[in-house]
Amino acid sequence: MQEPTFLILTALAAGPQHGYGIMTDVASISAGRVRLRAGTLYTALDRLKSDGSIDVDREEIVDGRLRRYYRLTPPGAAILSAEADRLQANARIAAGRLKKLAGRTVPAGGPVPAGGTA
Amino acid sequence: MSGQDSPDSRAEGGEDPSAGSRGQLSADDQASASGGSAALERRYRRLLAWYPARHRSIYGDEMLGVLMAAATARGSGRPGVAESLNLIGSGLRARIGTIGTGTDPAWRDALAVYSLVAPVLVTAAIYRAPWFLSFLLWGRGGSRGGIDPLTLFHFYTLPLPFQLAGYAKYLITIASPLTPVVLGLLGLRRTGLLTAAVLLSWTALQASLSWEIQASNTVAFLALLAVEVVALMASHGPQRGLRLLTWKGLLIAAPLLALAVTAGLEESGAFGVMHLSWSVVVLAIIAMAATLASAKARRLLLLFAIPVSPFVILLVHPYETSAAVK
Repeated sequence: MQEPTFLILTALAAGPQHGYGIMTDVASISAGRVRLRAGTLYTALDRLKSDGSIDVDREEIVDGRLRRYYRLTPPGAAILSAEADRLQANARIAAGRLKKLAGRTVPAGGPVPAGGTA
Repeated sequence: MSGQDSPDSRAEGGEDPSAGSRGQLSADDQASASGGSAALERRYRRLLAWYPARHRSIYGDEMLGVLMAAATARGSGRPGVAESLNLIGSGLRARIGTIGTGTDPAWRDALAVYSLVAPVLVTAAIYRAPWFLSFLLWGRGGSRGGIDPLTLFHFYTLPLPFQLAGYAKYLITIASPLTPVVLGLLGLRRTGLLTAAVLLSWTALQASLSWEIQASNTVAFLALLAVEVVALMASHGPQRGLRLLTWKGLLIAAPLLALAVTAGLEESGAFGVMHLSWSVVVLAIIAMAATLASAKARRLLLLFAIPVSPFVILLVHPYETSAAVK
């Protein structure tokens, strides 16, 4: 799963949102790192809708303009959950190995850190 | 329960930034903002035209709302460059997706029939004028080398090995457009696609090197091959085309194809031959399309209009052809 897709599903996991809401939410989830453009967002929404991960929750007319709210479907939630697990597992392994790496390098460079911390 | 609460609060949270900045903007300068927003909306509508109609009818209005809200939040009166490129790219991808993923089965079937029929037709039309394709396949080097299909009918004076080589080259020349179809019928659509793509790029290269070849024929042949590549990519290929055409289409097309082939026997010079053959080919296409369901037939005719269009232009703007080759 690509990161924009993951972030869109994560945004919708909080509840139904409309297009612009998803855009701003994705920006805030990723701390401003991922800024979805409208074209990318709707390509993803169309794909997620056709594969059943999301669905239209309701439609509103605001300022004479159609506003559609999307929600996460149960299959979509399952996909997001599996992806979150996978990312978590990867992150755990990475964190564990980094800790081991730090444990190995500290004794090897023993004198310097010892001197440095003292 | 909390799940019931959160949607609304989330939705409102999502709405906040746009509402806030919209308020700011209208406080700044209401008149110019509304005038500017009409222009901005027009600009965005033009960009959304890159999307296929189906996509626009579902998402057009909604996307416009999102784009306007984002522009207002930016405080910008015109679409950003990256944003525009993103819209154009996504729109084109949606169009290609429409052909490729078969959201429109009528297009896919029309492409399948095309992938089968087009190369057969072009072979029928050019087999008496191999010099044309020979130029595109072998370039000018062939005629200097002395064993070029251009000189096919003057072979008899050459030693036997050269004659045989000449005939072999002639056969390869004539058969080359058919290769993707044969591969497709054997269930090797992807290999056929690769062959068609290689043939297209090679002949396009040759054509770009030598425009002595009559331009309308070259453009037609390249366009026909280009659409063939798309057809092999986006449809189930010649196998499906054969199933769609059924015996009825084949029965109607066969005599016309025979006519296209024999039309070349009349002594009217290479160009006359080509044009006569092409016009019979056009008839064959229309007749074959008539045996299909109307949605597919319309699309098939539209596909064939691409390679045929150079000749229509030629009819409207005739030019002296005799000086070009031979």
